[in-house]
Amino acid sequence: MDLSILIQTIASGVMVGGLYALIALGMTLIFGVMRIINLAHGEFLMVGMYVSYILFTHYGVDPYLSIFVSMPILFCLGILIQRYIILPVIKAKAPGENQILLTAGIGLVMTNAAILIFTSDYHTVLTSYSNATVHFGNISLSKPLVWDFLISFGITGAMYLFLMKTDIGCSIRAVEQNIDSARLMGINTDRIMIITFGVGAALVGAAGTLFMPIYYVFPAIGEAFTLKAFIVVVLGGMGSALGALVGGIALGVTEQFGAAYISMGLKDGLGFVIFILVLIFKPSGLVGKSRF
Amino acid sequence: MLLEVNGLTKAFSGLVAVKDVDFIVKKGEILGLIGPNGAGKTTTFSLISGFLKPTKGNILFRGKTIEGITPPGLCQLGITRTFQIVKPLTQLTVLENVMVGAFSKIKNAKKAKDYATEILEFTGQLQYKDVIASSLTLGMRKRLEVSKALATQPDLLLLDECMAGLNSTEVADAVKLVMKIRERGITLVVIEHVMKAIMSISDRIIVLNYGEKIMDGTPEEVVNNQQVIQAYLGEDYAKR
Amino acid sequence: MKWENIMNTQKYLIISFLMVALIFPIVVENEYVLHLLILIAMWTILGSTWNLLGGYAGQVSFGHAAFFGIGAYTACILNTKYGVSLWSGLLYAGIAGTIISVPIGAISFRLRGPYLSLSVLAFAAVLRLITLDWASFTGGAVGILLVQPIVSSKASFYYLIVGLAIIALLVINNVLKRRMGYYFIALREDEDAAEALGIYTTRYKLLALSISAFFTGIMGAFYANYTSYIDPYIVFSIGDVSIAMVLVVVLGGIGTFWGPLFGSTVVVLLSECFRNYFAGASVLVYGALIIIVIMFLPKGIVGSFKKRFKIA
Repeated sequence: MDLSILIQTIASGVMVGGLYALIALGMTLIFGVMRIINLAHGEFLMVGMYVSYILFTHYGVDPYLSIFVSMPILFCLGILIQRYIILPVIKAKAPGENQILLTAGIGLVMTNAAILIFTSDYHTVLTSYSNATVHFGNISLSKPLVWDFLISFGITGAMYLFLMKTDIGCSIRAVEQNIDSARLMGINTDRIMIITFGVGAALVGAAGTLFMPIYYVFPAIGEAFTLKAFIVVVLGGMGSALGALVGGIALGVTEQFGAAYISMGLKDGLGFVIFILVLIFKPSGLVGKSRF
Repeated sequence: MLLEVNGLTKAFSGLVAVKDVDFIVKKGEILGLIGPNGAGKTTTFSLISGFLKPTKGNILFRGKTIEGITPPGLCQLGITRTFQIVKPLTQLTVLENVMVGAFSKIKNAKKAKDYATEILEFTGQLQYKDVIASSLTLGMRKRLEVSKALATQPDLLLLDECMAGLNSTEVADAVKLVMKIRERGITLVVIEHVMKAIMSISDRIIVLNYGEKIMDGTPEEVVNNQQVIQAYLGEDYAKR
Repeated sequence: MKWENIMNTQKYLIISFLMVALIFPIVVENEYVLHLLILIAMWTILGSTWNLLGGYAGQVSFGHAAFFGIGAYTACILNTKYGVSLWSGLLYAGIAGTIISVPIGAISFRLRGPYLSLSVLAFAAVLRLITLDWASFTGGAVGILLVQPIVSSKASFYYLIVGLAIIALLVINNVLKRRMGYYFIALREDEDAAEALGIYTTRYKLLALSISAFFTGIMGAFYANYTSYIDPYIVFSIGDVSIAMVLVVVLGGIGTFWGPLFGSTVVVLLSECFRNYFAGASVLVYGALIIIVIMFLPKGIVGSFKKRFKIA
């Protein structure tokens, strides 16, 4: 077993894992606070990617700068959707399957709006550094991927601080732990749920923007990533930011191993297998219920 | 001796809810189980009925150990419990609720329905048989809880605060029902806070406090026991 | 159970409905209309069988495509590779669905609520991946073409699916009247109460799942025959199969007996309307419809009707 290939595999796995963690962070926040499974999660990623794409092709904005545009846009989109569509349904105490269906419907609308606007063609963003690599001794990593990892890590860290140190972050954690108590303490839980969904959407949107330099966008890309996000969240433990990071990296590394040593086609399958194994043996996730 | 509990202990990582409790239940008797809130009474029920596994100690039913047997298994053996916070099957009618209980020993739907109807007549709820459970008052739900349990044809029935929240007329009716149940040959262990009721129905009473058994005797003995008075009312009353 | 009150009226309605249904193809030869009715019947079966597990037993699965796909592939592979008749294929498809439901259920039922739904969804995704990758056995992305399906005329397909629908609905109705049916409902209402009353909850969850998976598998095989072609993306599809099954039931009224029939009628007819009027935007309108239904008609058609008129 070639050591440099092994290290290379692990390294690229960790890099990708950072991105997965960012996607999952949004989902775990949303689930933790609102207890809904958001089947439209991947579609927010798709929107983030398209925002970057448009900014790049029409205005020449570098994808890494467009993150400052895509995050606010996704935040607003998330807020609107939560306020006018999802929140009324939650407040009507709709059963779980209704809520899941609702998000599925939202996802469908978003995907198909994208098809109508952009067609089903694949689009990529080609920058000067798209194919650049960075070398660490024997290992060469794609430069955008390294940037992605660093920025994801930074955003995740910022989220952690936000949740721990700010008032709003505290309120979010309170609602996540016990919504009735939070209400009794005077927290406006509706407002918190709206903000949380917006933040969750912004996080995924950021991930989308970061993803654009290393992948390609098409309207239906969302579904695969929604599933990946679930895997990461379950791996890491629902409701845990650290868990999202651990889970994301675990998934990233597992996939790279699968691709390198088994087969390209089955790499996604490996993720699912791990998913199921965790569900069997440790349903609370690898990190368990460590609250943020 | 129908039920025997030896050294029963249940710890929830640090908090010992039930500590080294011993008691027996004789066939045909009504055993009262009292104690202040948090004394471990419902936990004891959960242990006996298979919802919790003991940390230590054993439980013998008809001489055979039963720890580790799941609640449905124990129901088949003849132990049925009710819940303190009642659990009616809300989208079903009263009759259908009781039928679910009846089905545990009767496989045929028609026969289960007939038996459930009998039980409802016994507990005095026959006129409500087609009412949806979600529209019942608390008193009626508590009685439904008992009807459901009776339909499983238990030998040992564990009633958990079936009189809590009832007015005095309802309590008197509940007491009559409990006596009627005993007349059918069913052994009862009853958790209750309504003192007058538990004193009048119990043959013996066990008192728990902070998870430990502090007294085991007749109602008169228990009422006059210093430790019991102290546990419930505090030291000032005990000194009198 | 409660429909004994209005049983007689219902009985006559059902019998007249059946008679109309049976002579329909003789009177109406329009193939398009027959096609729509076939779809309605198919989704009624799919909805009703999902409803047994999700509506009555309260175990919500978002991964029934797993059983649909297994059924489709079982029938097709048995026929194209081993020459097994497609009629037997229908039965084997159902059995395959049931067999695969056992490990899926054993693992998934250790979880509750959304985790349960996700778990079944994950299994469906895994099955899709395996089917894609194991090309030597399943044909992979190329899929399987059925050169000579089980029957050939639209009218024959119609009678086949109506026959299957009658069987499925009779079985489900029968289950609901017996102890099993009551136990399923107890599972949905309160698992602790159910256990205290002697119900082995895991056993009955698995039972509900096996029955549900059986009919779903048969429908997979039927679909394969009807469209003559399957591939992993079609029959293991989350959106077109798993979610659609849930939509049909929720729209019609989850936990009601006739809900799936109403739901599938509305969904099939509306989808066709959307395809004709909105062309490219039809899926978008479909998605919007889902949102509107959940927001304004959460109990579904039959559910709201029941509430309004306080029947049963």
